[in-house]
Amino acid sequence: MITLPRLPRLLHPRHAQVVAKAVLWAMTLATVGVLFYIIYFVLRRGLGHVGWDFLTEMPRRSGSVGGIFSTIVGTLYVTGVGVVVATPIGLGAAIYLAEYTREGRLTRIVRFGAESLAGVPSIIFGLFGFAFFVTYLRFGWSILSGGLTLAFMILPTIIRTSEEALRAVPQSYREVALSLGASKWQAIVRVVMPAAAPGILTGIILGVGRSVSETAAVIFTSGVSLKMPHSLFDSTRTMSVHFYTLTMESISEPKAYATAAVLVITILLINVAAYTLMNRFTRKFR
Amino acid sequence: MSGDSGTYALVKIAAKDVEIRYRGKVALKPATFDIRSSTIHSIIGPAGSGKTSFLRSLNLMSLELDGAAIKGSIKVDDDEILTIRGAEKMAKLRRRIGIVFATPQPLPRSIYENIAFGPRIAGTRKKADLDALVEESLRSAHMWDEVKDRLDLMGTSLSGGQQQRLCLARTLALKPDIVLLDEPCSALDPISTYKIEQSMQELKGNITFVLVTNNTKQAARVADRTAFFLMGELVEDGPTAKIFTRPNDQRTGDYIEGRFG
Amino acid sequence: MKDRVIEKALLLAALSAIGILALITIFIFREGLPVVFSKGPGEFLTGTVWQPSRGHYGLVPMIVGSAIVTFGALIIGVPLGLACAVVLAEMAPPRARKILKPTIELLAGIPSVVYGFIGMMILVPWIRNNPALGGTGSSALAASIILGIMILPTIIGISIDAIEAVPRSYREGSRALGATEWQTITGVVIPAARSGIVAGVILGMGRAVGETMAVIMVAGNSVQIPDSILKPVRTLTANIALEMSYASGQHEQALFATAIVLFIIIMLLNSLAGLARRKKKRKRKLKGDPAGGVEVA
Repeated sequence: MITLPRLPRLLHPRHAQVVAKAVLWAMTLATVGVLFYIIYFVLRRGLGHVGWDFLTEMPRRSGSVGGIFSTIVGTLYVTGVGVVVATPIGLGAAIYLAEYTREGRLTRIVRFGAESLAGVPSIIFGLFGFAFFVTYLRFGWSILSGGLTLAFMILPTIIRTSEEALRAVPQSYREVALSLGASKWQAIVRVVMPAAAPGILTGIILGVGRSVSETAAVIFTSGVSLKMPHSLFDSTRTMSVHFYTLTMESISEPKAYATAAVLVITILLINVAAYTLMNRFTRKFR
Repeated sequence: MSGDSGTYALVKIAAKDVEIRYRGKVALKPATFDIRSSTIHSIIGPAGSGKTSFLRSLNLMSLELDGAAIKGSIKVDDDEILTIRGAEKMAKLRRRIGIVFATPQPLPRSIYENIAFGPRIAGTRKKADLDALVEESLRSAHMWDEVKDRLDLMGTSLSGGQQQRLCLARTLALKPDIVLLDEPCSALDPISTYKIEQSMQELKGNITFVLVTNNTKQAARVADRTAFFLMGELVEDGPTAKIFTRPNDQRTGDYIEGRFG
Repeated sequence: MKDRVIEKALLLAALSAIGILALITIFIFREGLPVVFSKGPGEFLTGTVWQPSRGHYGLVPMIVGSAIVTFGALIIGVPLGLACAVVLAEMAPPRARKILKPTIELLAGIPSVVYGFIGMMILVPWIRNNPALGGTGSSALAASIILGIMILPTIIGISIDAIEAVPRSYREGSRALGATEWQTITGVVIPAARSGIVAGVILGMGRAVGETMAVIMVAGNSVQIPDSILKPVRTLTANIALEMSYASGQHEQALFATAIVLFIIIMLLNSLAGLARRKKKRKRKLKGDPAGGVEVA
């Protein structure tokens, strides 16, 4: 099923290698080129419309006039709820997996759950959030419903990165802490977790990134209100949802480009932060 | 509970028929011997002799971390320790029985914080108390003069020998009455080795030292009594002078004279 | 005592993921099953007409639509993804790798609405105006290309892990027998990493099947079985997202029923990917190779 392009036999193996390498490198650079083009395209068309006003003014007339302030606030709230809920649960699960159990049936069940959850499409999270939080628990279209839905969605990411970070901490740290009279839990809290903190933080930041860019899961749970939210039970519209609406309902092309630029810059910053942290973390232990 | 509570215990640690297994595999066949109070008791033997397993059983680390199953009885000041269960009780035991590992293992924090770690967990909060403990412990480990002006330096940035003395000081800050040492000088230069041995000699009035070493010369230099382990078996135990000059067992003599291991 | 309580709490956290998965399953089925029973599963799985206003809920056009764009995404994503994985894992010098890897990971961070937008602004007009292609532009082809790019990070990430898990001794053995670097890659490394790569491709499929926003923005969304890749299609995900905002009653239930179909497909793909991964581990363990034997059964 997986065969790379076999080159004609008449070619000498050494020449075949040169050709094949060139082709593969070209494909890789093309992929990277696509990424850079996407970023370049969005920023070139969008940045011109982004100013301080755009970030701090409320959207008016469905967003065709004014800025995106309330959607920035909405994004922060929804993402905040998601991260605040998912982090303790995900970290707890990771600690259990890395510190309290040996590989066995239980860990297989836990891993199956996390892996499967990671594969569930966001539209299904959206539908579930609508059926469960919005309707069944009567939270309505709200920051709370959207945030909890996102929490469920980013949980696997936080579990996986945190577990990896905890496992990267040398076993000797645990031995030393225990030998100095720390209980297992004290050893984890005072020695292992601080050492793993950058790795754990990377997972959280990646979760923030996913939350900010998510659309399908929040549009059916937080709704589309452009008003300034005042409580967790208010409906709100995140930047991604706003951008989607601006585009699909052809409200304003300049505003759509500007919103896309803000989104892309946010995601860039988040990824750079996560990458820098992770880099520092892995260098410490290798 | 501690050693000086009325009845002066000549025997600090009494090991009786101690057998250690890892997943069914025997690491130490039933061994019986006493470790006397206020002495340096060395345990010598080649790799795989079960000496480290025995040492790590004295503070139950083999039980909690390595998955060992221990049979028999280990009494410290007449109290059975093998029946201790639960993370907090084990932690309490380890404040009485400190350990220094083979490779220096400073935590990734300052010299001061490395030493204050144990006392803080045990509940010492006052800055003045901690300061005093840090100074006293560093002095006991012959380190104070070297580092007194840079206590906020990362413990990991010290030289190997200094790191190991920091680890000894860190253990002493717990005010233990027993200190276990697991080949503490195997990676050290002669000067650091000398300083650690000197500390042990000075402190043995209050502290019982159990020193696992594969350096027989070190055992001969510092130990009052010596036990010889071989292939998971306690071969013999006695005063160091006797073990080194007139051993009861042929194998002991062979090992000491370097005929194997 | 305190430690016991903590351990119980942590266990609870560890079971949360599987609990949430169960909760999602229950609520999707609870909302969607009634209409499936009242109309009969046959209506959904074999019906070709989707007209909620008249009570017709045939999902065949959407299933076909999802299948076409997913297959198309694989045609684009698998060769590109494999090429990137091989370059990054085997060929790139460490410094180039340090730049390329995070750059490619960044592809996964770009919001799907931005992909959809790029598709609308660049790809769709290009298809429309290209004399060899034509049509409205919003088409299965456009969706396939966008999805092909979107699944790259999944395929690349997992394939790199699989390639790197191949023991160094395999490569050295091959080179020692006189094979070139390239012959070693195609003849030894990739076959040895095969199950891991397959797992990556399957998970990539899962992403393509499940992607919603980007597809809606470029696929045209007409309910029809297309006779050409230049025709618009509607996927299962698009069907849900497009009608959810105004659906109610039986119509809304039918959208949940769509989600049931989608959910089952995704879980099947996940299980397949899991099987492929475990197969790799088992194989390694039999050979006594530490690289694959980390998981102790």
